[in-house]
Amino acid sequence: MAERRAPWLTLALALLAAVVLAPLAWVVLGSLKPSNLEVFDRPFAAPSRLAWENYARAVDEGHMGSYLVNSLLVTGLTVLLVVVLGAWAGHALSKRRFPLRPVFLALFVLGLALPVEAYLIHLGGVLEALGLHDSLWALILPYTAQSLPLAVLLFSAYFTTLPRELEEVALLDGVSTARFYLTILLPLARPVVATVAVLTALHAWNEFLLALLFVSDERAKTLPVGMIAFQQSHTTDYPALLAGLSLISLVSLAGYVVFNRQVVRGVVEGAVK
Amino acid sequence: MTPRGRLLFFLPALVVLGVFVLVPAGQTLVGSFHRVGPDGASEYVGGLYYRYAATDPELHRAFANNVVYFLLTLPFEVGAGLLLALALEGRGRARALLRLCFFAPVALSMVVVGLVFGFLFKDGVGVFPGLLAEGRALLTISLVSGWAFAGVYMVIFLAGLSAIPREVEEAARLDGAGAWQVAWHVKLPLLRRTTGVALLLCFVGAFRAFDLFWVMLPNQEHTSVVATLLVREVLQFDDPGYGSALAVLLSGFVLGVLGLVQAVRGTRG
Repeated sequence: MAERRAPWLTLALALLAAVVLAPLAWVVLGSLKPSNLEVFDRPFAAPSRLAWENYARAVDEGHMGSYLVNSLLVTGLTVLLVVVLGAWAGHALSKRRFPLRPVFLALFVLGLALPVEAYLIHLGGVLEALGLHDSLWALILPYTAQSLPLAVLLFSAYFTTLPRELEEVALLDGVSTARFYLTILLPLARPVVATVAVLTALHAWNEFLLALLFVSDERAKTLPVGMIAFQQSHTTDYPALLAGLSLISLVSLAGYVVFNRQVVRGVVEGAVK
Repeated sequence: MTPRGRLLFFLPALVVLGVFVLVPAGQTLVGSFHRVGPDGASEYVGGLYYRYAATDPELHRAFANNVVYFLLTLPFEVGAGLLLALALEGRGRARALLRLCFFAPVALSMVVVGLVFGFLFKDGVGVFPGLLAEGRALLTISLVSGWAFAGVYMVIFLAGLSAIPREVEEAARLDGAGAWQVAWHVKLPLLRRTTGVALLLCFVGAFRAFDLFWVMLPNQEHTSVVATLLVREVLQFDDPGYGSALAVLLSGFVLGVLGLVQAVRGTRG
């Protein structure tokens, strides 16, 4: 049916896609120009020469390399924690006879619905009391807490659909509780792991507000806050700022293209559930 | 598997949620009824900050901005996403590539998006200056938000469309309905649940909005939303009381609407 679609529609959509991607192309173009003048006076002209030194400035003066490492660490550790803790808790809550199950479920639903504004004011005090201020853990643990509710609910819903026999077979084989949780549970939940990992990674990679409020040490900044810091220290060095922005965008988009299927599925399942 | 073992593996998630979300949320609720003096002593002040909020013109303006932002992002995010989904559903290489393009902004941080468009719209040097002036900024930011999120709604609607059986569309076509008629009279009614989800997401997104406003309008007092007002309050003043009250009001509003929708849905079965 859809195969009979008019070619003009495809053409119009291709034009629209070009318009949508134009701002990013403008960033990459500008990042290769040798001066501010060229960026803003001739915004759509090709650079007079390819000024790769802008990228060197973004990495050396803008610390993009260190921000990138921090972002990767924060994202990786947050995903690991959310997947493991989420699967454990979700499995427990999938058992009808788990004590206080409705109360715990309600707490996770509340955690899912609460906007970040509800707790950001006093989160600083918590981080300080735990001595986490200005470290990567000041982001990893709150991000984990933010992503856990949906993870727990998704895992719990999935485990209720699994036949009980799966577990019973494992137990008959004499597997201990610890080994069950450590080695058997996660492979069992593979479809949900992908969804949870994608949603958690998108959040941790792009989060800005908590990072803005709780990380002031240069060495613990992630890409979003780092980029803002770079912008504030180099307000008028547009080619270098655009080089920084295109570095971040290229890394993000590369990840997106590689994991495209999982991202689409993750976003849909996260939204619909 | 012992029940005790199960509890042991359940607890870490609960502890993390409790320590980093539920406890500070509770403190915020309590803190909104207390004033912290310069000496650090806390004193109960009842509904003082809430009475202040009720008469704070800045808060009312910010809340109104949130409402307008929601109404503007509806067509730019949800509406555009629906149209893209209707146009791009189905097989074909070209269509898959276009879907990839429209969904791509999902990977970008709103900080990156905000800075890129902030540069483009910058007064004086930008390519399209003046778009972030007072009176225009809200519309501009809504459009940028549409640029970033229309693809997300497209993907959500595509999932909804793929659940509609082919026979339904074919039957309508045999009856002589054109593509638009099928979309409007057949597909849209069948997408009711998906549309509900999309509206809810858009609503929550509009009232939690922060990043784009903070990044695109730095050091500007105009066009605040509740979240930027709240963060400015936190960064500027030592007394967290009024900020806490704002946080409770905003959270209460979002939770209230979510609860209401849930209740209505429940009664409809």
